[in-house]
Amino acid sequence: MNELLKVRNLSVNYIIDRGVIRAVENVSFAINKGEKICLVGESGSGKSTVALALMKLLPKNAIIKSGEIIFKGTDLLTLNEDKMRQIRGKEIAIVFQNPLTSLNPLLTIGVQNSEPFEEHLKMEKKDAIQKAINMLKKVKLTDADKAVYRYPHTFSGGMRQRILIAMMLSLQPELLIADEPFSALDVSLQVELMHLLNELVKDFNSSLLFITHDLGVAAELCDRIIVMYAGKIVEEATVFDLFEKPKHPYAQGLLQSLPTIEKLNKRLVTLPGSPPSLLDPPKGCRFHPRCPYAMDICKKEEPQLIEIEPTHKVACWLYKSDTHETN
Amino acid sequence: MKLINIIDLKKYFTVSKSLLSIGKQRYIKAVDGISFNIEKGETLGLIGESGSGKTTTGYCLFGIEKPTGGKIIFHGLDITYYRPKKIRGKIQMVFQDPSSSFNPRLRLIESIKEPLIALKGSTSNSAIHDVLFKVIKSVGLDEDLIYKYPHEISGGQLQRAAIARALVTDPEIIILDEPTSALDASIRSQILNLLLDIQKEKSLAYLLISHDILTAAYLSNVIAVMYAGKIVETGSAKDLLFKPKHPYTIALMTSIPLPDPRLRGRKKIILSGEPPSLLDPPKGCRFHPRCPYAMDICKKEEPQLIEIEPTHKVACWLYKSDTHETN
Repeated sequence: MNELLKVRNLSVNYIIDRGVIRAVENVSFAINKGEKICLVGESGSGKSTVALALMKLLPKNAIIKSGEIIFKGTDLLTLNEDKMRQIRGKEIAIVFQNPLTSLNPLLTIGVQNSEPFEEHLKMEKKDAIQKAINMLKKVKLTDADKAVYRYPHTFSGGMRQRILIAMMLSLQPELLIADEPFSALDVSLQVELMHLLNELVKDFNSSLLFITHDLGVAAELCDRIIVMYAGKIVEEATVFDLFEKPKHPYAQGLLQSLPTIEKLNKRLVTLPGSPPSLLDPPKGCRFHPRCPYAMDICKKEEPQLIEIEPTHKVACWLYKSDTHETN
Repeated sequence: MKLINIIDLKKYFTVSKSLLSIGKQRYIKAVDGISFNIEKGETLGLIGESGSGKTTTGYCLFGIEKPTGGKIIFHGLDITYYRPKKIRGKIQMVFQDPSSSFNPRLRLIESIKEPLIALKGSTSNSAIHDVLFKVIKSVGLDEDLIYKYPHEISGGQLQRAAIARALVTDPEIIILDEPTSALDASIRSQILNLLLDIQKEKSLAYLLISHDILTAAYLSNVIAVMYAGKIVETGSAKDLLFKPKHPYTIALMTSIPLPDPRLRGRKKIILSGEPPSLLDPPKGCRFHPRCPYAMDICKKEEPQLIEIEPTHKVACWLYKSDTHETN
């Protein structure tokens, strides 16, 4: 398989009045061509920070402390803003959760959705709008020919998200990042748009990095899952392995705590406590204060992400000994 | 006697007239003639998409919206427009986002005891504190946390405080408006278990408002599905999950993202279009423009909620003939 993107040891800090938030620490992963990856985690786990770092769109108080983001052989972190602008939208695009804040309220859809064609492909306005209309038809926007003359506020939430998906896929980017794109939508719309996104990504042979807190959505959509907890990757596996044999106690607890059809009227298994503050994360494994299997070493030393099977990685001391034996 | 009877409840919101609009006042029919009962110690789950009227129904029962029509009966007493003093505090509510339902300038303890003071007036401090600390203990909130301000504690703890605030007046029913949807997965199960424990201990009734079908199924004895201001189907969680009847319920149930990748290929019914405008809802069945089985009658006459099994009711013309035969 050929790697499209490789993130190595990425660490991102946010500087705030009260100190330094260690939002993302030593995160490494790779995305292959045409692959759909879900980054799963709770709020504050650092999943959106990773997405913003990949686009180099982090807020001003963020510092990339270390790491490399290698996209098709170049480290994006070494590129200047001009070069990044050529990549954003054309080679890597991003769809955010709330389409209304991503669309400019003062410009018609036609103006906004034709921009990628004008900016990157230097097309004439007229052709660009025609291209935009074609894209809007692909995302099944009703009355796409007329929609280009309307403003964002005249569309419903679902329509706006379609418009944004059309805009972001305009240039058939090699990597599409979607940050909780459907979380604000109702289930029936969510399933429709998920289906649509899936088809388009396949048609364009784009890779997808889908960020979600919803394990159900992750199970429906992706090939591989990366689980983040408190700024770190705790487990990485194929979607089947993760749901069938989760290894990290956090992933196990999370899966057990979901209400499912089989568990109706039974008490849910819960994870005690809540995620730590990243101003002062716990020493050692960041999950140890909530972990039912916590050992002495967990409180002192940080576990590394190790491979326990060819496609299954976990960062937990419980599995340290296994590899030593097998190695 | 039933704890709560809701009979033909209607809530219309008036739309402000613009300069150009001529003629009669227009209304948004947010809730348009719904009926249900809640028994002591039981949970009714109201599910539906945004704009279906579920929260408005909750507000009417709670008393912060005055119904346009219909009746709300509590223990045989009509409380639609006037609530005598003896029942105040018997109906309580917990809101979706705990961080916006607390006054940011008050310590939690002030907010939690406010309903008690409003209700009991000049009761001695020690009596209030007795009740207060009992409730705080029962929701699993640390006693030192209640002297903090809302922004100082986590979402899960804050939702516990919100539940405590609802419990201090010793209610018989609590309206839970999306109690877990603002919480992270690992916290959600803690709150769900807590709600079940409290219900058992005090034989409380809940009206649960949720868009998350699995959460509703987990907590509820009976589920009512709302669409565009109407109840389209009611039944037990198992009835609705395993043998949904209304085409809308069927679509909703098949589109729940399930945390099991092996079920990915299951047949999903993807609805086209979006819910109707409630200013001018479609004639006949409100679902007919999106219904794959729409017949002529659906466009003309409104289906009534009919019983197809002892605990299972549906409002759909597809099932009209069945009952005629069985009757």
